[in-house]
Amino acid sequence: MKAGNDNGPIAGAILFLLIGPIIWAAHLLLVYGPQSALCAFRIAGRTQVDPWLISMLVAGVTVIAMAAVMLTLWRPRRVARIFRFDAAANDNRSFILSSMRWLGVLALIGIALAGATTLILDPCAQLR
Amino acid sequence: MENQPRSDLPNKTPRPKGELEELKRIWATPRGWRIVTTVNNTEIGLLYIGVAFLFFLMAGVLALLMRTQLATGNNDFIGQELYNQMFTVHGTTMMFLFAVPAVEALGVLLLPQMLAARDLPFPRLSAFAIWAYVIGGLVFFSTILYDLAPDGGWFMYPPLTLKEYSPGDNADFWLLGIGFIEISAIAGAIEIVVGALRTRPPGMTLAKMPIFAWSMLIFASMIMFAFPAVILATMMLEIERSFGWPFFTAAKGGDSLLWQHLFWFFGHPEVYIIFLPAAGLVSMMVPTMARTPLVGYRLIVIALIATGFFSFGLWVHHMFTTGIPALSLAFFSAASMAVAIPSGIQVFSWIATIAAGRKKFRITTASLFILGFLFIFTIGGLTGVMVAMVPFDFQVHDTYFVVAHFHYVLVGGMVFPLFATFYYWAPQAGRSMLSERLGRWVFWLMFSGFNIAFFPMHLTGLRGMPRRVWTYPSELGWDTLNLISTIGSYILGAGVLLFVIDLVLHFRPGRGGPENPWQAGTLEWLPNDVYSNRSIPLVTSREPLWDQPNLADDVKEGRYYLPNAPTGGRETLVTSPIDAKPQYVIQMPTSGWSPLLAAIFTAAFFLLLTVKLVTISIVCGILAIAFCLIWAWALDPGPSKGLVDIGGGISLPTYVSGPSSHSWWAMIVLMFVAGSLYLSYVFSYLFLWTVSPDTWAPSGSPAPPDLGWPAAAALLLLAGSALIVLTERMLPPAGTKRMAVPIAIFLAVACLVGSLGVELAGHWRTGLSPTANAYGAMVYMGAALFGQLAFTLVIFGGFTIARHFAGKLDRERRVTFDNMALLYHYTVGQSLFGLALVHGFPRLVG
Amino acid sequence: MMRCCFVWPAAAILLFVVSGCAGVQSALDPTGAEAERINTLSWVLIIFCTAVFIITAIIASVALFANERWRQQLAGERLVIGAGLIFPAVTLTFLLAYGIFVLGMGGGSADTSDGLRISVVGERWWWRVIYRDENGRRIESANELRIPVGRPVKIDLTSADVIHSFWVPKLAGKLDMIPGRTNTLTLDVTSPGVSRGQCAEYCGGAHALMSFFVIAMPEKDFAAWLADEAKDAHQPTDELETRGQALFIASGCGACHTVRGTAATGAIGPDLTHVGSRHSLAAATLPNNAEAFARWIRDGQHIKPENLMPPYPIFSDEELASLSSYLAQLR
Repeated sequence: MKAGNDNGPIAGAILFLLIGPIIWAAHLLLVYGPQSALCAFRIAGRTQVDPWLISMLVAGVTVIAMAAVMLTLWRPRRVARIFRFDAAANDNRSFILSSMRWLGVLALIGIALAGATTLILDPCAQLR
Repeated sequence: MENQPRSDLPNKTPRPKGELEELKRIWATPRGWRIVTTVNNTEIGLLYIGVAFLFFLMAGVLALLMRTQLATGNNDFIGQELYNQMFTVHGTTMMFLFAVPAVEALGVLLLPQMLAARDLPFPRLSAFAIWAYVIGGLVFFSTILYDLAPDGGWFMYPPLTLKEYSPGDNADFWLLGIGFIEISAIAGAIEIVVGALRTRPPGMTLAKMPIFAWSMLIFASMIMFAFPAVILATMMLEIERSFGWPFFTAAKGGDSLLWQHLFWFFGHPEVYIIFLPAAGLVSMMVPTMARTPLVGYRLIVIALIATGFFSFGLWVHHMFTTGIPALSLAFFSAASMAVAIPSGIQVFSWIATIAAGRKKFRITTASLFILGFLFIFTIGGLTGVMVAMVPFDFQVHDTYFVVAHFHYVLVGGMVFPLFATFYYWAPQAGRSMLSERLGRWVFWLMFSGFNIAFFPMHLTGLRGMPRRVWTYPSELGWDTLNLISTIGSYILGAGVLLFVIDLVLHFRPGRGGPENPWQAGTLEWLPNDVYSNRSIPLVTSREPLWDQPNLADDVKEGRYYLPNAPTGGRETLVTSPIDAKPQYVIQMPTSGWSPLLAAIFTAAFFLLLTVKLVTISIVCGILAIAFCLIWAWALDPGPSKGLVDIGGGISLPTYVSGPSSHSWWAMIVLMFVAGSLYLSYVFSYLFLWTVSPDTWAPSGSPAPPDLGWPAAAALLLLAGSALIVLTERMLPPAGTKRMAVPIAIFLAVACLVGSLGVELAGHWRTGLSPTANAYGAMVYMGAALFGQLAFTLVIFGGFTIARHFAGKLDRERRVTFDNMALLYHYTVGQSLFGLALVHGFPRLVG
Repeated sequence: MMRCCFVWPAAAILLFVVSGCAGVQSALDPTGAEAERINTLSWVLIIFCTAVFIITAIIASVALFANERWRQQLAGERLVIGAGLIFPAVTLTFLLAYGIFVLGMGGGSADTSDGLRISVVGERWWWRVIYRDENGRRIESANELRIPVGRPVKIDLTSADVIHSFWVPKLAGKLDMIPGRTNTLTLDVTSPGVSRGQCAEYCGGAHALMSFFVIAMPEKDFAAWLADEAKDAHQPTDELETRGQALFIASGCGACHTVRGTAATGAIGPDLTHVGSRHSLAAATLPNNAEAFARWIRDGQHIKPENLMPPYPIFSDEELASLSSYLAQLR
């Protein structure tokens, strides 16, 4: 007796609900990972990456991530369709929709705060 | 849709005679000494919370002894060696043996009631986890009595904890203790994720789920992603200690910072893993005491989710002083600021709820503990903002300021809500209430003692006193502050002692406590018995008891779903994860010896291994696996019971396989755990490469084997996966057997083992040794993780073959096969990725 | 509840006033550039957090005790979003900017071209201090750091065994000493004087007894001191000290310790060439005098358990007296 597949809808719902924080996590990974790896190599004298490029990389990833979150805030129903989440009106669905938006706002704050630090600091210096 | 909840409930027709008696018989607690075989979460959960509280008391005694030592400068009440063991055991016990198990215990204890489920879906898994924890935890703690306790701090930083600097078995006992809590935490996480998503009552959509269920769901999800990092770290540390694979030794290309990254990637979320369920409990109690629904329910859910996420982006703030680039620190400083916002949301939601009640907030012992929590946690949160500022942390990191900060967060954020919980939910587990009169004394002693003990520590730290020092010179001006702290700790201890007295005087475990003494609105206050609720209600709001005035009576009289036991055994209702529509009736196991014996032998296996009694330990390991198999044999009952009527005009199947099955969900959760373990490995591999690229192949180590080797390994894996897909098509019709099935499964498992062999042989032939350098260690570690899964599948495959020969595997009755197939395909995927990494990466960068 | 909310901050402030901020190891009594910047930051944070706490306590008290009309003002999501989301988002952004700005001021200008390099190596449980002067001369000392006032000095921090952390609260924040890595800390002391430092990362055993003194001296005095420190050890003058020296060499102390200018050239323990001139013994565990030397030699394991130096109960009182007077005169 093989019942219908719930995994599709629940996976879609989870991804839809968490899209903001997921972008935040991707952003942290993509700024911290390359920055610390490139700096490690620069300090060890293995690569000659211009520090300015690292700063640009961080800034660029930040701008893209913020744009992505804003897009999800602006057109949540389109995002819902991508994840095959049925956002049709219903108490439960509107709860998920508004939660998704608030989480997006919090993620946006997190991304902006992390990204803005690159405007002040040298990308590789220990500063001690 | 026939399965739409109908509005003709409650059903007023009287229930047949004998139904209730049958429920009682089916769910009866085993009598006498057989009580140890019980698997009912609400019963075993009481043992769980009791043992966790015992650890709290014992670790608290250690704290008082340490405070006595520190009362004055140049004191020698406790010597250096014992003190170092004490703070290690205090920290480890409080974090791993008290805090996480305590909240997990509350989860399994309260969730079934809050969700009006008869039980959570995997009672025997819970029983196994709890017994493993009880035995392992007690053995670990007792090491302090015979000088075998670990003394490397609860964070166990290598190289201090490597063989060279910690030659005794002490550190291995730490790794052992952690092993048990890893097992029980993961098991609990599976239980809670599947429980919260699938065993809710009909009508309780996600938007109506009690906040505690939300917080436990997030708690369990966080365990899924946080614990694997520490599991990998502890595996690597034990391997380095036992076999000398240099993951953490700088001289051979390892790095002690790798441990710190992995440990804190677990360790920071851990703090929120402890805090979120406690916050969830507060969100349940505040509305009751304010007599009004929670203000900002949606915002609190958002805050819980956001905290869960952000907490994974904070781990480097434990490493601000390690000298990594300032910009890296700044990213984590920013995230540490961001995580303050969700906490702010929760604090003000509670305050708004307190203000929203038409009458003023009821001041009971539970509310006092909640207000005390608000007070202490707010201070802890604010000092958290302070330490999130990188330069400030340069000064206070590893000082008494931080000791003060995290005790404010953890004692404030977890212990105070826990005591509120004890006073509030005592009738859930006992026949009577705790004393409100004694309770007030308990609160005021604990509250004032806590603040007198820990507030001065902020200043002690700023004035330069580091943590983890067993003595300090008197002339530095820390004496007065320390003496105040010590006096405070005694007052706090007196409060806890008074609570124990209250417990002894007034707590009587059992059923039949006062019904809904606080006039709360949530389902756990429905009348219940060993079988939980007589019938499972149709939920239409967040506070059903406030909005459906007759609910208690109707549920008690069996006027809702599943008022009986249609399959003749233990069962509960499974609903859909988002909208909570009834899907099927799950048949659940009853009391039995297998989880207990499996736990005892698992504990014996690890313990004997730690003290190097290898042969007996292997025997115990085999016995542990055997009892797990005996327990698994009774699962997967098949569709023989057909459809059953659960009332309200709904007929449901009693068996499902495939993606709707709770068992499939558990497997998915387990695969997430395995996946994040593997991602931690990938991170470690890349991290060590950035640290010591000069040890990497092809220049620093033998070049990886010819591409023919990984190609052969990959082909074997793909062949195995294809065999499993074929087997699925060949599953025989019900009641028949087909020899091709066991043969194909055997061949598939053989492919897996063969692939592992090819991978190992390829590396071995190049002359690469795991002990030579970090690269070698990482390459063989990848194979070890593959081997771990392959070993599991050898057993699982054999089990599936045995099911076939026993006539318990066919096209219909196939959950065992489905789960094995899932794990098999996952293993193939992970191993293919591993082959690409281990063989491709050195070629890419070389 | 309401009353206690005001009593607590008041008590906290009182505590600060009573016990004061001063101290040879207090972060609140800074004499170094980084510590001064952090001290200002600390007070901004303390005042900010106290203010937020008091306001929260007032709001909570209103919610608990005020009359219906006041309480209804607070009873909505407006409070949650305003005080719980917008307020922290705004204030924390400013705080973060300030914190990052202070962080960015660290390190100082990288150029200290007069060539003085200092390395400190953390060992269980003491500090090996190595000066390299402008001529590249290597001068080893232990458990005491002397630096000139008024210019930034770079200190290279490494470890010989496990992780340690170098922390002199009056001068700067801490920085870890990690095997296989070299971290560099800039100390820029603003006024001469003595400050105390301590290992801040748990390093096992006698971690509590791993401290040291930093003596900041005017540039001229420092140059003179470094020139003295570079010289070989003082030769004993009286008979007691001479006997002590002979005993020191004969007992094999030189296997672990160096006394430059003598046959003692060991490298396992601290360099004792000028041990008599230091502020303390045994990594700031004992005062520096002949009696302390005697105690340490006879029974060092009780003073600092698990340290590498075995106890020497074999020495008679006279032998101890001669040894310690020899060591005390190594100025």
